[in-house]
Amino acid sequence: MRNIPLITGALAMALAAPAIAQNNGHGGDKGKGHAAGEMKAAKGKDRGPQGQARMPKPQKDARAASRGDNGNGNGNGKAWAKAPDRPDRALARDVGRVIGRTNDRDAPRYSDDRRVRDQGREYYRRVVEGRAIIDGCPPGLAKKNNGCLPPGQAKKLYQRDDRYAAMINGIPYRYRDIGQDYRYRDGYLYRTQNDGISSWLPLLGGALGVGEIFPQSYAAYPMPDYYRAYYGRDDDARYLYADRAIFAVDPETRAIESIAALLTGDDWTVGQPMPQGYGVYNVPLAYRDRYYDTNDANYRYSDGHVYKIDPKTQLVAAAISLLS
Amino acid sequence: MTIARAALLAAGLALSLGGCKRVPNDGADNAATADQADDETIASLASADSNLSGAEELLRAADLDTTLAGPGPYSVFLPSNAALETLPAEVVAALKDEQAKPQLTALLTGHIVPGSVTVSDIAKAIDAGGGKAELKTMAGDMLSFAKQGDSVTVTAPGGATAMLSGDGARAANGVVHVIDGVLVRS
Repeated sequence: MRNIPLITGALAMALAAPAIAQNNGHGGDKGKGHAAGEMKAAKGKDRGPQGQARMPKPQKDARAASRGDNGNGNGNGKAWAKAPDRPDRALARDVGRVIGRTNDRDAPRYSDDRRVRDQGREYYRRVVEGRAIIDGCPPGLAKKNNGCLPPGQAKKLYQRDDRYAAMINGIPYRYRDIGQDYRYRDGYLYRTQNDGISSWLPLLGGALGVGEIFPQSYAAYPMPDYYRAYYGRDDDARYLYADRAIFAVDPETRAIESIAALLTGDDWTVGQPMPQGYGVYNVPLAYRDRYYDTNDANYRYSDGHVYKIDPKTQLVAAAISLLS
Repeated sequence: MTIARAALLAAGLALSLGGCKRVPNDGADNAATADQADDETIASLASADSNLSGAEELLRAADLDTTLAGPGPYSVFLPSNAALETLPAEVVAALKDEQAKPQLTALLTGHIVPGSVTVSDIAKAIDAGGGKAELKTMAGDMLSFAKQGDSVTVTAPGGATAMLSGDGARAANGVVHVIDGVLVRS
Protein backbone atom coordinates (compact mmCIF):
# COMPACT_ATOMS: atom_id res chain seq x y z
CA MET A 1 0.00 0.00 0.00
CA ARG A 2 1.16 3.43 -0.61
CA ASN A 3 -0.28 6.59 0.54
CA ILE A 4 -0.43 9.76 -1.43
CA PRO A 5 -1.84 13.12 -0.69
CA LEU A 6 -5.37 13.46 -1.78
CA ILE A 7 -5.50 16.50 -3.95
CA THR A 8 -7.12 15.93 -7.26
CA GLY A 9 -9.40 13.38 -5.79
CA ALA A 10 -10.72 15.86 -3.32
CA LEU A 11 -11.32 18.43 -5.98
CA ALA A 12 -13.18 15.99 -8.08
CA MET A 13 -15.20 14.72 -5.24
CA ALA A 14 -18.84 15.08 -5.93
CA LEU A 15 -20.22 15.02 -2.46
CA ALA A 16 -19.77 16.77 0.77
CA ALA A 17 -17.76 14.16 2.50
CA PRO A 18 -17.81 10.47 2.93
CA ALA A 19 -20.89 9.36 4.70
CA ILE A 20 -20.75 8.04 8.14
CA ALA A 21 -23.16 5.35 8.90
CA GLN A 22 -26.39 6.03 10.57
CA ASN A 23 -26.45 9.12 12.63
CA ASN A 24 -23.52 8.35 14.74
CA GLY A 25 -20.49 9.01 12.82
CA HIS A 26 -17.83 6.48 13.04
CA GLY A 27 -14.48 6.37 12.95
CA GLY A 28 -11.61 6.94 14.63
CA ASP A 29 -9.70 6.86 17.62
CA LYS A 30 -10.90 9.25 20.12
CA GLY A 31 -7.67 11.02 20.60
CA LYS A 32 -9.52 12.88 23.21
CA GLY A 33 -10.63 12.12 26.59
CA HIS A 34 -13.34 13.13 28.85
CA ALA A 35 -13.84 15.61 31.48
CA ALA A 36 -13.35 13.94 34.73
CA GLY A 37 -16.22 13.93 37.04
CA GLU A 38 -15.87 10.77 38.98
CA MET A 39 -12.52 9.99 37.55
CA LYS A 40 -10.45 7.79 39.68
CA ALA A 41 -7.06 9.21 40.15
CA ALA A 42 -4.62 7.24 38.15
CA LYS A 43 -1.31 8.89 38.50
CA GLY A 44 1.91 8.96 36.67
CA LYS A 45 2.30 8.56 33.00
CA ASP A 46 -0.84 6.56 32.66
CA ARG A 47 -2.89 9.54 33.23
CA GLY A 48 -5.36 8.79 30.50
CA PRO A 49 -8.22 11.10 30.93
CA GLN A 50 -8.05 11.16 34.64
CA GLY A 51 -7.99 14.43 36.32
CA GLN A 52 -8.02 16.35 33.16
CA ALA A 53 -10.48 17.58 30.71
CA ARG A 54 -9.02 15.80 27.74
CA MET A 55 -6.70 13.08 26.89
CA PRO A 56 -3.37 14.19 25.55
CA LYS A 57 -4.01 15.80 22.25
CA PRO A 58 -2.44 14.36 19.16
CA GLN A 59 0.39 16.20 17.58
CA LYS A 60 -0.80 19.03 15.52
CA ASP A 61 0.51 17.81 12.23
CA ALA A 62 -0.29 14.22 12.70
CA ARG A 63 -3.00 12.35 10.95
CA ALA A 64 -4.15 11.66 14.38
CA ALA A 65 -4.93 15.28 14.79
CA SER A 66 -7.66 14.95 12.33
CA ARG A 67 -8.51 11.35 12.81
CA GLY A 68 -8.50 11.59 16.49
CA ASP A 69 -11.28 14.01 16.34
CA ASN A 70 -13.12 13.96 13.14
CA GLY A 71 -12.85 10.27 13.06
CA ASN A 72 -14.98 10.16 16.07
CA GLY A 73 -18.48 9.20 15.75
CA ASN A 74 -20.31 11.33 18.13
CA GLY A 75 -23.84 10.39 17.71
CA ASN A 76 -25.18 13.80 18.32
CA GLY A 77 -23.23 16.45 16.56
CA LYS A 78 -23.35 18.80 19.47
CA ALA A 79 -19.98 17.80 20.70
CA TRP A 80 -18.51 18.84 17.42
CA ALA A 81 -20.11 22.18 17.68
CA LYS A 82 -18.19 22.78 20.85
CA ALA A 83 -15.01 23.16 18.93
CA PRO A 84 -15.61 25.40 15.96
CA ASP A 85 -11.96 26.29 15.80
CA ARG A 86 -11.09 22.80 14.69
CA PRO A 87 -11.82 22.57 10.98
CA ASP A 88 -11.64 18.82 10.96
CA ARG A 89 -14.15 18.68 13.74
CA ALA A 90 -16.33 21.13 11.94
CA LEU A 91 -16.20 18.91 8.93
CA ALA A 92 -17.28 15.98 10.97
CA ARG A 93 -20.07 18.01 12.42
CA ASP A 94 -21.32 18.86 9.00
CA VAL A 95 -20.96 15.34 7.86
CA GLY A 96 -22.90 14.33 10.91
CA ARG A 97 -25.66 16.71 9.97
CA VAL A 98 -25.93 15.13 6.60
CA ILE A 99 -25.72 11.63 7.85
CA GLY A 100 -27.89 12.27 10.79
CA ARG A 101 -30.98 12.17 8.72
CA THR A 102 -30.60 8.95 6.99
CA ASN A 103 -28.84 5.76 6.39
CA ASP A 104 -25.65 6.53 4.58
CA ARG A 105 -26.23 3.70 2.21
CA ASP A 106 -29.18 5.64 1.00
CA ALA A 107 -27.07 8.62 0.35
CA PRO A 108 -29.01 9.92 -2.63
CA ARG A 109 -31.77 10.70 -0.21
CA TYR A 110 -29.73 13.44 1.29
CA SER A 111 -27.80 14.47 -1.75
CA ASP A 112 -30.09 17.40 -2.28
CA ASP A 113 -28.76 19.21 0.72
CA ARG A 114 -26.56 21.42 -1.35
CA ARG A 115 -25.69 23.88 1.33
CA VAL A 116 -24.26 21.32 3.62
CA ARG A 117 -22.69 19.47 0.78
CA ASP A 118 -20.94 22.50 -0.59
CA GLN A 119 -19.80 23.48 2.82
CA GLY A 120 -18.55 20.04 3.46
CA ARG A 121 -16.74 19.98 0.16
CA GLU A 122 -14.98 23.16 1.02
CA TYR A 123 -14.00 21.80 4.37
CA TYR A 124 -12.88 18.70 2.67
CA ARG A 125 -10.58 20.65 0.41
CA ARG A 126 -9.18 22.60 3.29
CA VAL A 127 -8.78 19.82 5.71
CA VAL A 128 -8.26 16.66 3.83
CA GLU A 129 -5.83 17.83 1.21
CA GLY A 130 -2.50 16.63 2.24
CA ARG A 131 -3.83 13.81 4.25
CA ALA A 132 -2.94 10.42 3.10
CA ILE A 133 -5.44 8.24 1.43
CA ILE A 134 -4.92 4.75 0.29
CA ASP A 135 -3.94 4.63 -3.30
CA GLY A 136 -3.57 1.56 -5.36
CA CYS A 137 -4.02 -1.79 -3.76
CA PRO A 138 -4.64 -2.04 -0.05
CA PRO A 139 -2.64 -4.34 2.15
CA GLY A 140 -3.07 -7.92 1.23
CA LEU A 141 -4.24 -7.32 -2.28
CA ALA A 142 -1.85 -8.05 -5.05
CA LYS A 143 -1.55 -5.33 -7.60
CA LYS A 144 -2.41 -6.41 -11.07
CA ASN A 145 -2.41 -4.60 -14.32
CA ASN A 146 -6.10 -4.04 -14.07
CA GLY A 147 -6.12 -3.13 -10.44
CA CYS A 148 -6.09 -5.21 -7.34
CA LEU A 149 -7.81 -8.28 -8.57
CA PRO A 150 -6.69 -10.90 -11.03
CA PRO A 151 -8.55 -10.97 -14.33
CA GLY A 152 -11.53 -13.26 -14.25
CA GLN A 153 -11.96 -13.08 -10.54
CA ALA A 154 -13.24 -9.58 -10.80
CA LYS A 155 -15.88 -10.50 -13.29
CA LYS A 156 -17.06 -13.32 -11.13
CA LEU A 157 -17.28 -11.18 -8.05
CA TYR A 158 -18.92 -8.27 -9.71
CA GLN A 159 -21.66 -10.39 -11.13
CA ARG A 160 -23.21 -11.13 -7.82
CA ASP A 161 -26.47 -9.30 -7.39
CA ASP A 162 -28.36 -10.61 -4.43
CA ARG A 163 -28.60 -9.85 -0.77
CA TYR A 164 -25.09 -11.13 -0.30
CA ALA A 165 -23.64 -8.86 -2.91
CA ALA A 166 -22.59 -6.29 -0.38
CA MET A 167 -20.52 -8.89 1.40
CA ILE A 168 -18.28 -9.84 -1.44
CA ASN A 169 -18.82 -7.45 -4.27
CA GLY A 170 -16.78 -4.42 -4.91
CA ILE A 171 -14.94 -2.82 -2.11
CA PRO A 172 -12.11 -3.23 -1.51
CA TYR A 173 -11.58 -5.31 -4.58
CA ARG A 174 -12.32 -2.10 -6.33
CA TYR A 175 -9.72 -0.04 -4.66
CA ARG A 176 -8.40 0.32 -8.13
CA ASP A 177 -11.13 2.82 -8.72
CA ILE A 178 -10.12 5.02 -5.87
CA GLY A 179 -9.84 8.56 -6.99
CA GLN A 180 -12.98 8.13 -9.03
CA ASP A 181 -15.69 6.31 -7.22
CA TYR A 182 -14.18 5.52 -3.88
CA ARG A 183 -13.03 7.47 -0.90
CA TYR A 184 -11.47 6.38 2.32
CA ARG A 185 -11.87 8.36 5.48
CA ASP A 186 -11.59 7.66 9.13
CA GLY A 187 -11.84 3.94 8.89
CA TYR A 188 -14.50 3.77 6.24
CA LEU A 189 -14.39 3.30 2.54
CA TYR A 190 -17.17 4.93 0.61
CA ARG A 191 -18.29 4.51 -2.92
CA THR A 192 -19.72 7.57 -4.52
CA GLN A 193 -22.25 7.39 -7.25
CA ASN A 194 -24.67 9.85 -8.75
CA ASP A 195 -23.61 12.63 -6.45
CA GLY A 196 -24.20 10.50 -3.40
CA ILE A 197 -22.80 7.61 -1.53
CA SER A 198 -23.84 4.24 -2.76
CA SER A 199 -21.94 1.98 -0.45
CA TRP A 200 -19.46 1.89 2.32
CA LEU A 201 -17.35 -0.50 4.22
CA PRO A 202 -15.75 -0.14 7.62
CA LEU A 203 -12.07 -0.82 7.36
CA LEU A 204 -10.15 -1.08 10.58
CA GLY A 205 -7.20 1.18 10.30
CA GLY A 206 -7.78 1.51 6.59
CA ALA A 207 -7.78 -2.20 5.95
CA LEU A 208 -4.67 -2.78 7.96
CA GLY A 209 -4.37 -6.33 9.12
CA VAL A 210 -2.16 -8.86 10.77
CA GLY A 211 1.06 -9.34 8.89
CA GLU A 212 0.94 -5.96 7.26
CA ILE A 213 3.48 -3.32 8.07
CA PHE A 214 1.94 -0.48 9.97
CA PRO A 215 2.36 2.44 7.58
CA GLN A 216 5.06 4.93 8.36
CA SER A 217 2.62 7.63 7.45
CA TYR A 218 0.70 6.72 10.57
CA ALA A 219 3.78 7.09 12.72
CA ALA A 220 2.71 10.35 14.23
CA TYR A 221 -0.36 8.83 15.75
CA PRO A 222 0.11 9.13 19.44
CA MET A 223 -1.33 6.29 21.40
CA PRO A 224 -2.99 7.64 24.51
CA ASP A 225 -1.36 6.18 27.57
CA TYR A 226 -4.72 5.18 28.86
CA TYR A 227 -5.39 2.99 25.87
CA ARG A 228 -2.06 1.31 26.19
CA ALA A 229 -2.61 0.73 29.86
CA TYR A 230 -6.06 -0.62 29.31
CA TYR A 231 -5.63 -2.65 26.17
CA GLY A 232 -1.93 -3.34 26.03
CA ARG A 233 -1.04 -6.67 27.50
CA ASP A 234 2.22 -7.55 25.86
CA ASP A 235 5.11 -5.52 27.12
CA ASP A 236 7.17 -6.67 24.19
CA ALA A 237 4.77 -5.27 21.68
CA ARG A 238 4.36 -1.75 20.56
CA TYR A 239 0.86 -0.49 20.29
CA LEU A 240 -0.24 1.80 17.55
CA TYR A 241 -3.65 2.82 16.62
CA ALA A 242 -5.48 3.85 13.57
CA ASP A 243 -9.10 4.26 12.77
CA ARG A 244 -11.20 2.32 15.24
CA ALA A 245 -8.54 -0.21 16.13
CA ILE A 246 -5.44 -0.67 18.23
CA PHE A 247 -2.76 -2.78 16.66
CA ALA A 248 0.01 -4.66 18.42
CA VAL A 249 3.07 -4.35 16.25
CA ASP A 250 6.58 -5.62 16.31
CA PRO A 251 8.62 -2.76 17.77
CA GLU A 252 11.33 -3.18 15.20
CA THR A 253 9.60 -4.14 12.02
CA ARG A 254 6.24 -2.52 12.69
CA ALA A 255 4.63 -5.67 11.40
CA ILE A 256 1.15 -5.96 12.81
CA GLU A 257 0.96 -8.92 15.12
CA SER A 258 -2.62 -8.63 16.24
CA ILE A 259 -5.63 -6.39 16.46
CA ALA A 260 -5.36 -5.64 20.14
CA ALA A 261 -8.66 -3.86 20.46
CA LEU A 262 -11.62 -2.49 18.61
CA LEU A 263 -12.67 1.03 19.39
CA THR A 264 -15.99 2.69 18.90
CA GLY A 265 -14.44 6.11 18.53
CA ASP A 266 -17.57 7.56 20.03
CA ASP A 267 -17.34 10.98 21.53
CA TRP A 268 -18.22 11.07 25.19
CA THR A 269 -17.95 14.51 26.61
CA VAL A 270 -19.14 15.50 30.03
CA GLY A 271 -22.10 17.78 29.70
CA GLN A 272 -22.93 16.52 26.24
CA PRO A 273 -25.57 13.98 25.27
CA MET A 274 -24.71 10.35 25.44
CA PRO A 275 -23.91 8.98 21.98
CA GLN A 276 -26.65 7.00 20.35
CA GLY A 277 -26.57 3.27 20.43
CA TYR A 278 -26.05 2.85 24.15
CA GLY A 279 -29.58 2.20 25.20
CA VAL A 280 -28.67 -1.06 26.83
CA TYR A 281 -26.76 -1.37 30.09
CA ASN A 282 -23.36 -2.69 29.09
CA VAL A 283 -21.02 -2.16 32.01
CA PRO A 284 -18.31 -4.82 32.25
CA LEU A 285 -19.31 -7.64 34.50
CA ALA A 286 -16.51 -6.98 36.91
CA TYR A 287 -17.76 -3.49 37.60
CA ARG A 288 -21.46 -4.06 37.89
CA ASP A 289 -21.44 -4.06 41.62
CA ARG A 290 -20.18 -0.50 41.52
CA TYR A 291 -21.84 0.96 38.49
CA TYR A 292 -25.44 -0.05 38.04
CA ASP A 293 -28.46 1.84 36.85
CA THR A 294 -30.59 3.65 39.37
CA ASN A 295 -33.19 6.35 39.15
CA ASP A 296 -30.46 8.90 39.61
CA ALA A 297 -27.72 7.56 37.44
CA ASN A 298 -27.20 5.24 34.50
CA TYR A 299 -23.87 3.83 33.49
CA ARG A 300 -22.54 2.83 30.12
CA TYR A 301 -19.24 1.45 28.90
CA SER A 302 -17.25 2.53 25.86
CA ASP A 303 -13.60 2.25 24.89
CA GLY A 304 -12.15 1.52 28.28
CA HIS A 305 -14.31 3.84 30.31
CA VAL A 306 -17.56 3.74 32.17
CA TYR A 307 -19.70 6.82 31.82
CA LYS A 308 -22.24 8.10 34.25
CA ILE A 309 -25.38 9.32 32.53
CA ASP A 310 -28.12 11.51 33.88
CA PRO A 311 -31.25 9.44 33.23
CA LYS A 312 -33.41 12.50 32.86
CA THR A 313 -31.32 14.56 30.51
CA GLN A 314 -29.27 11.75 28.98
CA LEU A 315 -26.25 13.97 29.36
CA VAL A 316 -22.89 12.54 30.26
CA ALA A 317 -22.31 13.38 33.89
CA ALA A 318 -18.92 11.82 34.44
CA ALA A 319 -16.29 9.62 32.87
CA ILE A 320 -14.84 6.91 35.03
CA SER A 321 -11.49 5.32 34.49
CA LEU A 322 -11.35 1.59 34.89
CA LEU A 323 -7.67 1.55 35.64
CA SER A 324 -7.62 2.90 39.11
CA MET B 1 1.48 1.69 33.07
CA THR B 2 2.66 -0.99 35.36
CA ILE B 3 0.62 0.21 38.27
CA ALA B 4 -2.45 0.66 36.21
CA ARG B 5 -2.14 -2.71 34.58
CA ALA B 6 -1.49 -4.31 37.87
CA ALA B 7 -4.69 -2.78 39.12
CA LEU B 8 -6.52 -4.16 36.15
CA LEU B 9 -5.06 -7.57 36.72
CA ALA B 10 -5.94 -7.37 40.34
CA ALA B 11 -9.49 -6.62 39.44
CA GLY B 12 -9.50 -9.67 37.25
CA LEU B 13 -7.94 -11.85 39.88
CA ALA B 14 -10.52 -10.72 42.36
CA LEU B 15 -13.06 -12.57 40.33
CA SER B 16 -13.58 -16.13 41.19
CA LEU B 17 -13.79 -18.82 38.63
CA GLY B 18 -17.07 -19.92 37.27
CA GLY B 19 -18.78 -21.56 34.40
CA CYS B 20 -20.77 -20.01 31.63
CA LYS B 21 -23.66 -18.79 33.65
CA ARG B 22 -26.30 -16.26 33.08
CA VAL B 23 -25.29 -12.83 34.16
CA PRO B 24 -27.33 -10.49 36.28
CA ASN B 25 -28.31 -7.42 34.39
CA ASP B 26 -27.93 -4.81 37.03
CA GLY B 27 -26.23 -4.14 40.25
CA ALA B 28 -29.12 -5.09 42.42
CA ASP B 29 -28.36 -8.75 42.25
CA ASN B 30 -24.88 -8.45 41.12
CA ALA B 31 -23.36 -11.75 41.84
CA ALA B 32 -21.59 -11.49 38.54
CA THR B 33 -18.58 -9.95 40.12
CA ALA B 34 -18.26 -12.82 42.48
CA ASP B 35 -18.52 -15.66 40.05
CA GLN B 36 -17.40 -14.29 36.76
CA ALA B 37 -15.61 -16.70 34.50
CA ASP B 38 -12.26 -15.03 34.42
CA ASP B 39 -10.63 -18.10 33.03
CA GLU B 40 -12.57 -17.86 29.81
CA THR B 41 -12.51 -15.32 27.06
CA ILE B 42 -14.94 -14.73 24.26
CA ALA B 43 -12.45 -16.39 21.95
CA SER B 44 -12.05 -19.45 24.11
CA LEU B 45 -15.78 -19.84 24.60
CA ALA B 46 -16.37 -19.61 20.88
CA SER B 47 -13.61 -22.06 20.24
CA ALA B 48 -15.00 -24.54 22.72
CA ASP B 49 -18.56 -24.41 21.43
CA SER B 50 -19.03 -26.89 18.63
CA ASN B 51 -22.10 -24.98 17.53
CA LEU B 52 -19.91 -21.97 16.86
CA SER B 53 -17.12 -23.64 14.97
CA GLY B 54 -18.05 -21.87 11.76
CA ALA B 55 -18.13 -18.46 13.39
CA GLU B 56 -14.92 -19.17 15.20
CA GLU B 57 -13.31 -20.06 11.90
CA LEU B 58 -14.43 -16.78 10.44
CA LEU B 59 -13.13 -14.88 13.45
CA ARG B 60 -9.76 -16.50 13.00
CA ALA B 61 -9.78 -15.72 9.30
CA ALA B 62 -10.32 -12.09 10.16
CA ASP B 63 -7.69 -12.16 12.92
CA LEU B 64 -10.33 -11.15 15.39
CA ASP B 65 -9.85 -14.22 17.54
CA THR B 66 -6.93 -12.61 19.30
CA THR B 67 -8.90 -9.41 19.67
CA LEU B 68 -11.66 -11.31 21.40
CA ALA B 69 -9.12 -12.88 23.70
CA GLY B 70 -8.02 -9.42 24.75
CA PRO B 71 -9.28 -7.08 27.45
CA GLY B 72 -12.44 -5.98 25.72
CA PRO B 73 -15.05 -6.17 26.93
CA TYR B 74 -17.28 -6.88 23.99
CA SER B 75 -20.54 -8.64 23.44
CA VAL B 76 -20.60 -10.76 20.34
CA PHE B 77 -23.56 -12.16 18.49
CA LEU B 78 -22.17 -15.18 16.75
CA PRO B 79 -24.15 -17.06 14.12
CA SER B 80 -24.56 -20.73 14.83
CA ASN B 81 -23.26 -23.25 12.39
CA ALA B 82 -26.78 -23.78 11.15
CA ALA B 83 -27.12 -20.07 10.53
CA LEU B 84 -23.91 -19.92 8.56
CA GLU B 85 -25.06 -22.84 6.49
CA THR B 86 -27.86 -20.68 5.17
CA LEU B 87 -25.29 -18.54 3.42
CA PRO B 88 -24.39 -19.58 -0.09
CA ALA B 89 -21.26 -21.70 0.08
CA GLU B 90 -19.46 -19.51 -2.39
CA VAL B 91 -20.11 -16.48 -0.22
CA VAL B 92 -18.56 -18.14 2.78
CA ALA B 93 -15.66 -19.29 0.67
CA ALA B 94 -15.18 -15.79 -0.69
CA LEU B 95 -15.21 -14.32 2.78
CA LYS B 96 -12.49 -16.70 3.88
CA ASP B 97 -10.30 -15.59 1.03
CA GLU B 98 -7.33 -13.62 2.30
CA GLN B 99 -8.19 -10.83 -0.07
CA ALA B 100 -11.65 -10.52 1.36
CA LYS B 101 -10.44 -9.99 4.90
CA PRO B 102 -11.64 -6.39 5.02
CA GLN B 103 -15.13 -7.46 4.03
CA LEU B 104 -15.10 -10.30 6.49
CA THR B 105 -13.84 -8.00 9.21
CA ALA B 106 -16.59 -5.55 8.43
CA LEU B 107 -19.21 -8.27 8.59
CA LEU B 108 -17.93 -9.63 11.87
CA THR B 109 -17.43 -6.32 13.61
CA GLY B 110 -21.06 -5.71 12.77
CA HIS B 111 -21.79 -8.57 15.15
CA ILE B 112 -19.81 -7.05 18.01
CA VAL B 113 -20.89 -4.33 20.42
CA PRO B 114 -18.89 -2.66 23.17
CA GLY B 115 -19.25 -3.75 26.76
CA SER B 116 -20.95 -6.66 28.39
CA VAL B 117 -24.56 -7.03 27.40
CA THR B 118 -26.74 -9.84 28.63
CA VAL B 119 -30.08 -10.94 27.30
CA SER B 120 -31.63 -9.65 30.48
CA ASP B 121 -30.03 -6.26 29.90
CA ILE B 122 -31.42 -6.19 26.40
CA ALA B 123 -34.88 -7.26 27.52
CA LYS B 124 -34.99 -4.54 30.13
CA ALA B 125 -33.92 -1.95 27.60
CA ILE B 126 -36.55 -3.13 25.17
CA ASP B 127 -39.22 -2.76 27.81
CA ALA B 128 -37.95 0.66 28.77
CA GLY B 129 -37.71 1.72 25.16
CA GLY B 130 -41.24 0.90 24.23
CA GLY B 131 -40.46 -2.32 22.47
CA LYS B 132 -37.13 -1.55 20.92
CA ALA B 133 -33.53 -1.11 21.95
CA GLU B 134 -30.46 -0.24 19.94
CA LEU B 135 -26.82 -1.02 20.26
CA LYS B 136 -24.06 0.41 18.17
CA THR B 137 -21.70 -2.13 16.70
CA MET B 138 -17.98 -1.96 16.31
CA ALA B 139 -18.66 -1.55 12.60
CA GLY B 140 -20.38 1.70 13.43
CA ASP B 141 -23.96 0.86 12.62
CA MET B 142 -26.90 -0.05 14.79
CA LEU B 143 -28.38 -3.32 15.81
CA SER B 144 -32.01 -3.15 16.77
CA PHE B 145 -33.45 -5.48 19.37
CA ALA B 146 -37.04 -6.43 20.00
CA LYS B 147 -38.99 -9.12 21.75
CA GLN B 148 -40.78 -11.90 20.03
CA GLY B 149 -42.67 -13.79 22.63
CA ASP B 150 -40.18 -14.76 25.24
CA SER B 151 -37.29 -14.45 22.85
CA VAL B 152 -35.19 -11.51 21.77
CA THR B 153 -34.53 -10.75 18.14
CA VAL B 154 -31.77 -8.68 16.65
CA THR B 155 -32.05 -6.86 13.36
CA ALA B 156 -29.21 -5.39 11.35
CA PRO B 157 -29.44 -2.39 9.07
CA GLY B 158 -31.00 -3.68 5.93
CA GLY B 159 -33.33 -6.00 7.72
CA ALA B 160 -31.39 -9.17 8.37
CA THR B 161 -32.84 -10.61 11.54
CA ALA B 162 -31.82 -13.31 13.95
CA MET B 163 -33.02 -14.65 17.24
CA LEU B 164 -30.84 -14.86 20.29
CA SER B 165 -30.50 -18.34 21.61
CA GLY B 166 -30.28 -18.89 25.32
CA ASP B 167 -29.05 -16.38 27.83
CA GLY B 168 -25.58 -15.81 26.55
CA ALA B 169 -22.34 -17.15 27.92
CA ARG B 170 -20.22 -14.84 29.95
CA ALA B 171 -16.50 -14.54 29.72
CA ALA B 172 -13.99 -12.44 31.52
CA ASN B 173 -13.96 -10.07 28.60
CA GLY B 174 -17.58 -9.98 27.60
CA VAL B 175 -20.56 -12.06 26.62
CA VAL B 176 -21.12 -14.52 23.81
CA HIS B 177 -24.57 -14.76 22.28
CA VAL B 178 -25.52 -17.39 19.77
CA ILE B 179 -27.88 -16.24 17.04
CA ASP B 180 -29.73 -18.19 14.42
CA GLY B 181 -28.99 -15.92 11.53
CA VAL B 182 -26.22 -13.90 9.94
CA LEU B 183 -26.52 -10.15 10.28
CA VAL B 184 -25.78 -9.39 6.68
CA ARG B 185 -25.79 -5.77 5.68
CA SER B 186 -27.43 -5.32 2.38
